[in-house]
This record gives sequence, structure tokens and C-alpha cells, in this order.
Amino acid sequence: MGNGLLTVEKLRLHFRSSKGVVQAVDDVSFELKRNEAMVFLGESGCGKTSLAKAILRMLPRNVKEYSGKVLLNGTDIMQLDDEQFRQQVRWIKMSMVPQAAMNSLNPVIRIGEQVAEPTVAHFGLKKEAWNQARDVLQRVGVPLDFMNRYAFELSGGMRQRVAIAMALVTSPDVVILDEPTSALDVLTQANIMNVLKRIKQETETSFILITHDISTSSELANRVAGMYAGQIVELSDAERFFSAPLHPYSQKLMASVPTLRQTKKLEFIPGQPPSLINPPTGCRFAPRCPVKFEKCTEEPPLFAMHDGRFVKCWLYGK
Amino acid sequence: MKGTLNFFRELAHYRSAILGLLIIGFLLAVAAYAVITLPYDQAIQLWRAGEEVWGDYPRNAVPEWMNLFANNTLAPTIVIDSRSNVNVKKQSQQVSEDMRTADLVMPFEYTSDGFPDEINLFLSAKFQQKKPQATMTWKTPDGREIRLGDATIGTNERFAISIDQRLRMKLNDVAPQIALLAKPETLDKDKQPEVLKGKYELVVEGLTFEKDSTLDAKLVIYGQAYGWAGTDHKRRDIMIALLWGTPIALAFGFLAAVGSTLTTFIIAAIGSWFGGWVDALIQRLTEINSVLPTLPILILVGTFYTRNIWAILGVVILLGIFSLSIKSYRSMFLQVKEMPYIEAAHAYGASNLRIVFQYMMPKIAPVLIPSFVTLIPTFVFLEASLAVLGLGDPLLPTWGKVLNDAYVNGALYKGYYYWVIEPAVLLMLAGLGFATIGFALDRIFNPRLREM
Amino acid sequence: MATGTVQEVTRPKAGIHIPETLTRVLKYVLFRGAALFATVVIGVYLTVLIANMGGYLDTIRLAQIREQVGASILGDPTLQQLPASQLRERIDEQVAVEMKRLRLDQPFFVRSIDYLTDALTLNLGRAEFISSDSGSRQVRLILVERMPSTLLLSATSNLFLFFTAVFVALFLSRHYGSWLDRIVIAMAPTSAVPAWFYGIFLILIFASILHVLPFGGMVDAPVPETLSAYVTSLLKHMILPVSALVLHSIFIGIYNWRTFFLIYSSEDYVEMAKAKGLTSRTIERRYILRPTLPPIVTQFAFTLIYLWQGAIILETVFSWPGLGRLLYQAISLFDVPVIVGNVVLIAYLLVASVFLLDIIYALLDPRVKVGGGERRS
Repeated sequence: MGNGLLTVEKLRLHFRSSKGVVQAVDDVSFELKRNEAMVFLGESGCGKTSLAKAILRMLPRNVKEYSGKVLLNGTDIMQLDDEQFRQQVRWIKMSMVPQAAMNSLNPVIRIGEQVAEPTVAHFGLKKEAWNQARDVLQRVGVPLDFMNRYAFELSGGMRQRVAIAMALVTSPDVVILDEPTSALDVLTQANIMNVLKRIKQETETSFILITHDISTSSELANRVAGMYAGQIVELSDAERFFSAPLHPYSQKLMASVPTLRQTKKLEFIPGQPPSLINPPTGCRFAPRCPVKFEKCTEEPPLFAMHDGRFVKCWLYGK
Repeated sequence: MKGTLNFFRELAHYRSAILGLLIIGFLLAVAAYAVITLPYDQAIQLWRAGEEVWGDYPRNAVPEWMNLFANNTLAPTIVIDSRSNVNVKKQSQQVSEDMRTADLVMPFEYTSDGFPDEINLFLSAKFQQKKPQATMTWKTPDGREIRLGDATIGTNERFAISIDQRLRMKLNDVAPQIALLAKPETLDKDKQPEVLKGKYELVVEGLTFEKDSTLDAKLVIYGQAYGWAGTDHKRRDIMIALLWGTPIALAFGFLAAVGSTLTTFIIAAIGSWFGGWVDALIQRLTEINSVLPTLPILILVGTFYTRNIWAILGVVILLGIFSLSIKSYRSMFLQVKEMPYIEAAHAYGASNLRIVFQYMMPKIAPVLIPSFVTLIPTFVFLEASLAVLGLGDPLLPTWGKVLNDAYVNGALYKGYYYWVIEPAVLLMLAGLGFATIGFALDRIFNPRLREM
Repeated sequence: MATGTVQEVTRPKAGIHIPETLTRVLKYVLFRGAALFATVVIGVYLTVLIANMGGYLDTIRLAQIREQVGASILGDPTLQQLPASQLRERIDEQVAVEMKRLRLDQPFFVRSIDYLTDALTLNLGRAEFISSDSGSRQVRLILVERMPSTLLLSATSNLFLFFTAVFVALFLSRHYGSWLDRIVIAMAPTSAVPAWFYGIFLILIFASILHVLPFGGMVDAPVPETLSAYVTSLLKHMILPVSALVLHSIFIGIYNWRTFFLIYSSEDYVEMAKAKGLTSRTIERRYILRPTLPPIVTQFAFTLIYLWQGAIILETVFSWPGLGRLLYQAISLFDVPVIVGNVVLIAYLLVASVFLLDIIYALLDPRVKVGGGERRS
């Protein structure tokens, strides 16, 4: 580890709630290379969105613990103070398309102005910013006359494209996409994924895609991280994750994906995803795992496999 | 049951709400105490009674606990009645066939540092035709004897010692209630009079002229302090109004809040369910109502029609029905109306009324609770406001009326602060108690506020 | 709100739909205006009815006239020799003249309509008992004379309150959870206590006990002659009533605005603005204040309207010679024209502002179009 574009080490984000401490992100480490798309897969409530927020330091008010290392081009951005972080990282190096991007547009500022805003804010170039905004909107397929419209005048798919355009306008190194297509219909989803694929081909940008939607994510993914209860349980290249996953959880997850024209019994995982407040000791998946054994009462490390994959399961331990 | 318990547990998270609950609990206890110990009719009668009931009470006496703040002990009221007091010596001697002497020696001990405000001697005689006569003499502990005056005594005679002009002249133009009780050497103009403590006697030397004629006397030395609450300008014990004001204030506030929130709520539900002209009519009525000034109308009603508190309550509720909160309830109901379970209920043939009352209203009812609780103090103060304008209920003793009496009689100018402070503190307690609970409830029932 | 065409999804291109838009706007304005005017008419008529006790007040008035006329005739030494029957006739005659003059011979319904039209045309008529300081009985003059005092008191306190509350709240929404924030939350319930009530306490402390400020009134009793002395005296008299008003609503004001700003600053687009790396000043200006401007302006407008409505009890408690106290005096004297005049004035101001607000709203918030249906909440 340590030579990629973005290296995350032992990132931890816990927050307080009325019921106890929520361990939303717990010791997450991974590495992202240039022009790579990494998909974080997992059920709802496994801490995916918190991970995105932790990387971009978009913290809620009730943070209990926020620690670890986030190295971007070798500098630890966790060490920057808030103002430095704002000036040097946000939208310069990393941008994001948030969950529910439809609501993340200011209702009273015109679309064009909003897309141009990050450039103006960071570089102060009004005219150039406007031109860039126009280019990037065109690239994601938003008609130019929409630049003078307000968000409420746009359809959901268009707003999503605007949000993506906004994330790309400053050409950041990393774009974090948090469920970018979950609220859209299938056709629009496909459309958006095509836009993203094209952008990935045309630029050097790396993507972190957070989703629970296995089929759409497979379009873009180079690598996949399976997330369970705030932790990464499997880290693998996309091809092998989708065809032959290692972790029992990943296996179950893949088996639950419906495929056309194949008579296969869809599987589901019995039991509830664990609460992040009092996660099970030992392996967190153990209570729902079909192949658990005595060893599983201890927490497994993330084993490095000889083929370059990582898996957090005693089945693969020596 | 479990729900209620959980609810209180949640409420207990807010320290201010605990304080509010304690205050309201205290007020409820006071209200219960008032209603149990002093029946409604009796309270009204007492409050409306005059000198015949309150004659022995001091006028504008401060509460006794003021002793804690005063340098000198405040004079308590002393009443010596020859009919009931065993220390009064009665002597009677036959003078002629029909004429008898009837002497009353009334001893009392004066130990306070302060002078009384007023001294009255009530004389009463029994006779057929000829009224008895009497001479009153004041004996001080140091042996001086001061003749107060003579009188022919009817059935009920009041000798107002403290404002008797002739006596005052005799006492070198010093107020009798001071001159009679002061150390003589401190009565110089440049000195502060001091009380001569000790045993005093008032001697009434009477002469009756008929066979069965008798003479009785009651000496009242009105103190500076009385009871827990003091007295007002009509000598009434303010405690009665403070006690009875509590259930009245709570009932008025509660009923007005229930009446206006509930009706508003129901009307909003009906309007948003039926829509069309029903809704339009309700909306227009709300707008008209918003043009009408509430307080002036209440003042008009109070001046022109009735000041009866329950009639005013009715008008308050009437004016509250089409209040602007209809608009916010309506927008909530419109959202509920679109929910699938309402559609389902409609589909399987639930009646309109059933949908409104059983499906829509319970869904939003929790939102009502905080606004209802916060409304209570508004109405408690509304009643007080009307009373302060002199439009309080003509019969009932209320906090607002005490405040009004105090205000009209210049309590703030004359320094009778207790008169203002006592009802004011109670009003304030009621206001703050409900308001703090209301705020906490708002945070509990309004999830958006929860984290804030 | 009023009916209207369905909200358009796309913005009409400039220059194409102008005639249509214009007629729609016009229709809307007319409809809304008419509805609001009807509101005023009904509201004022109700006031007329209540203030005349549905006509019953006339009986009282009649008795008063009879008494006055009787007293003046019986007290006239030149008429003393006349026999009783003639005197009675004289009285009846005079009463009839007086009744005719006051139109009391007409049925109440007719007169109530007269009162209504007079009120609506701001032909406020003559007061029955109250007169202005200059001795006029014209209701309009009386009202105009009292206006400045009310305006002075309420404008000072309400403008101060509004701006302080908004700015402190904006500050607190940024410093959520600070000790100042906690104090404001804890103090918010104190606003359940009305202003006049704080007034009594303030009088008690600063006038009765400390003797540093006057009990009430607007200026010292012999009106100071120099301007500076006058202003000083005025300011001295203003301190307590203004403080009472401020004490009453400052905490709840800050609390409400704070909650309002907190809710709006947890919107997704604010979060997004933060992620974009905008400065907190920009976020505050463009992402919090700008979208919330319509409700803030509305609130401000309502603040302005209620400036005219004197605080009845506060003015009474402080003997402040404003509209509120005038209304109370008018009511206790049964001076109906003054009561109705006062209410009409406020009704007009209220409705006119609501009307204006509808238009301002449409200009400020692109989500609301003139002629569009429901306002988005």
C-alpha cells in the first residue's frame, strides 16, 4: 500500500446517538489508483455513505471518533485544518455526487450558475467558469438552454446529470458517487451509467462508487470492496468478485442477484444486518453466516490472498 | 400504559420539562386544596363580603413572611373581644334601680417594633330605649392614662380611634395609633417614634340605664402584617383569591386551549378531506377571522355584554376556531390524504366521517399536543389581561383581579409590592410551567426539532 | 390560495407568451384583490355589529339623549313656568330632532350598512366622546394624532427585535450547541409571559423601588421646552415599555429563527455547498439566506403591519398615548366610531400587506409563479 492516488488507512468514524455509539466506519483501509473505479457494495445501513462522508470530511454534528489516515497523492489530508481542507481538497482534488442528488441543487440559483460556482469559488474566473460549466453540462448530456433554469423545472434524470456535471467541472482526481442512480428509473439509470463510463474513458478521473445495486455497478467497476457492518470484508478485482467471490457474505450477495433467462433460485441472507451500535464481537457476519465455525468468535484479520485479493474470513486463514 | 411511561421517560430527558412538571404539579395541588377546603360558593361569598366579615382584618397588610426582610418585627393584628376573651374583666355595680355601671377592662400586650396602621373600637349594647353611655380610657405600661373620649352607644357603634380628630388634637396632632403606643419621649418632632412595649389596658367605663341592658366592646389593633398573602384595600385576605385563582386559571387555560385546538383541528381535517367548496369556505372564514382583532373584540364583549368568565371563554374559543393554524394543519392533512392507507380505506368503502375521524386525525394528533400545551399560558394570561383592564369576572376571585385591584389602587406608587408580586408570581409560574413542557413536547413530537 | 392555472413545468421563453401571461396575471390580481376586499368587508361589518351590540347600543344612546335633553330643558330657568305636559312635549321634540340628526330614527340594519360604507370609504366620522388634543372630534384626526406615539414605541422595539433575532439566530445556527445557544433555548419559554406583564415588573423595579425611571406617560408633565430636553424625556419614558416588549419576544424570536435556519441549513443543497468547498460566508448568503428570503420577508412585512396595532394593555399599563390605549378608552366610553375606525384601519393595512406579499413572494421565489397554484411550503 502507499503508492496509489488515494490511500485510506484505518479510517474510523463513530458518532454518538441517543441509543449509543454508532460505529459507522470501522478500520477501513483501501487504495485507489488513477483512473480506476472502485465500487463499495453492501446492504443499506452498512456504513457506505458514512465512508464517503468520512473521506470528504462531511461530518455530522455528533462525531465521537474520527481517525485514520487519508493520503491523497502522498499527503495526509487528515492533517489539514478545516480551512486548508476546504481550499485544497474539496472539489479541487475530490468531489462528490451525493445520495439524493435531486435535492442537492439550490432551488433559487440557476443551474448554470450552480455548476460554475465551484470554479468561481476556487479560482475566481467568472467567464471561464461559465464556459467550463457549459462544456461539462454538454458532456453529461444536459441541453444548454437548461443553464438558465431552476432545479425545480428539471426532471429527476436531468438533475442527476447536473449533479454529475457539477462534480466534474473542476476536473478533480477523485469523484465519489453515492448511489447516483438509485432514485431513477431503469432507462435513466442506464443512461447515467453510460455517461459515467464515457467520462471515465475520456478523463483521468478515478471514481469511488457507493451502491447496493450490483448489476449497474458492474458496468463501471474495476475493483470491488464488499462492506459489512462498517468494515470491508472483501477487496478484489471486479471480474473475480462478480464471478467467484470469496467471503460467504459476498457469495450470498451475488447469489441474490436475479439473472434473465436462467432458472435459478434467488437466495437471500437470513436475519437482519447487524446494528452498528452494538456489532457482534468476533466476525460481524458470523450470526448470519451459513458456514461459521468456532474460530468465528474471534475477529478475523483482512487476509491477503496470493492472487492479490483480500478477505476478512477465517475460512481463508492459515 | 407502557406508552405513557415511555413518554414520561422521554420527557424527563429535558431538565426544563421536569421543572415545568413540578410547577404544574404544585399548581394542581394548590387548585385541589382550594376547591376542597373552600367551596366555590363560600369563596365567592367571602370575596364579595364587606366589613361585616373583614372588619377585624387590617387594611393593606403585608404578608407575615415579610418579617424575614424587615428589620423590625411587623405588628400582628390584636383583637380583644369582651364577649369571648377571658382576660377581659367585667365589673358591674348597681347604682340606682335601673342604672348600673358596666366596666370593661381590656388588657393586651404590645410587643412589636412597628406601629399599627389603624385602631378601632367596636361597641355594642343591648337596650330597649335608653342607650348606654361609656367613657374610654387608654392605660399605658408606664402608668399614663389617656382619655379617649365618651360615647352614647347604639346597637353597633364604631369608634375609629386612629382617625378621631378630637383625640388627635389632644395628642398634639400625632396620629393616635402612634401616640398611644409610643414612648412619650420619642414623640418630639425631630425624633423617630419608638414603641413602648408592655401591657396596655383599654378601660371602658359604661353606664346602662335599663334593667337588662348590657355593654360589650371589641378592640381591634390592626397589624401591619397578616397571614401568608396579606390583605387588600377592602381588608380581604388575598390568599382567598390566590387559592381560588389557581383552579380558575388552570380551568380557563385548559378549556380554552382544548376548545380552540380541537375544533380547529377537526375543521381542518374536514376541509382537507372534502375539499371543494367546503375547503374554500373554511379558508375564507379563516381569512376573515384573521382580520378580526381578538383582544379588542373580547374587550367589546366584556364592556357591552358580559364579563362572566365562562361566557368570555366561549367567545375565546369561538374566535379561536378559525385561527391561522388551520392552514398548517390543512397542509399536513393534505399530505396524509394522499397516503396509501387512506386510499385503501376509501377503496374498501369506509365512510367519510370514519376516514376523517379514525384514519386522518389520529395520524396528525401528536402534532397537536405541544401546540395545545403552549397555548394554555396564552389563555391564562388572556384572562389576566382582561381582568387588568377591569373586565374580570364580576363574581370570581382571580389572579388578574387581584392584580387589577392592586393597579387601580396604586399599589406600585404606594409601595404595596406584595399585592402585585403575589398574583404576578403565580401567573408567571403557570405561564412558565406550561411553556417549558410545551417546548419539550415540541421537541419530542416534532422529529425535525429533535436533534436541534 | 386562490385558484389559478396549473403550475407550468418549464419557464416560458421571453417574448412569446406575454399576452397570455399578462391576462393571467391580471386575472389573478383581480381575483385575489376581490377575495381580500370581501374579507375586509365582512370583517368590518362584523366589527360594526359587535361594536353596536347588534343595535342594542342605540337604546342606551337614546336614553342618554333623553336624559341630556331633559336635564337641559328642566334646568333652563326661562322654561320653569311652563306646565309639565308642555315641558314633556318640549323634551320629546328635542329628542326627535336629536334622533334625526344622529339618524337613530332609521332601523339599525340600514344604519349598519351606512356605518359599513362610511368605514370602508375611510369616512370615519365624528367621535361621540373622545376628542383629539387639538379639540377635534374627527375620528380620522384622533387616529392620526395617536399614530406617531404607537409607531414610535412599536417601531423601535419591533425593528430592533426583528433584526437582532434574525442575526443572532443566524449566528447561533452556526454555533449550534454553544452556551449562548443553550441559554436561548432555556429562556425561550419566558415569552409565554406577555409584554405588559414584564412592564409591571419593570415599573415595580425601576420606578417604584429604584426611582430612576418614570412610571408611565410619554414625556414629563410640563412638556420640556427645548428640543434636547424633550427628546431626553421621551427616551427616558420609552425605556421601560420598549424593554418590556423586547423582553417578551426576544428569546422566542431568536429561538424560532434559529430553528428555522437550522432546518434550512440541514437541506441537502447546503451540505453540497459545503462539500463544494464554498466559504461559510458564501454558504450563508447564497444557500441559507437566499432560499429563505421569502419567509423572512413575509415575517418582516407582518412585523411592519402589526406596528400599527397598538399594544392595548401595554399602552394602558404605561399610560402611553397610542392607538391601543385609545381603543381601550373608546371601548370603555362606548365610542363606537372610534372603535370601528381603529379596527378598519388595521384591517385595511393587514389585507393590503397580504396582497402585496403575494406579489413579493412571486418575485422572490422562482418556485412560485404569479398565477401558479399552491405555494410550495
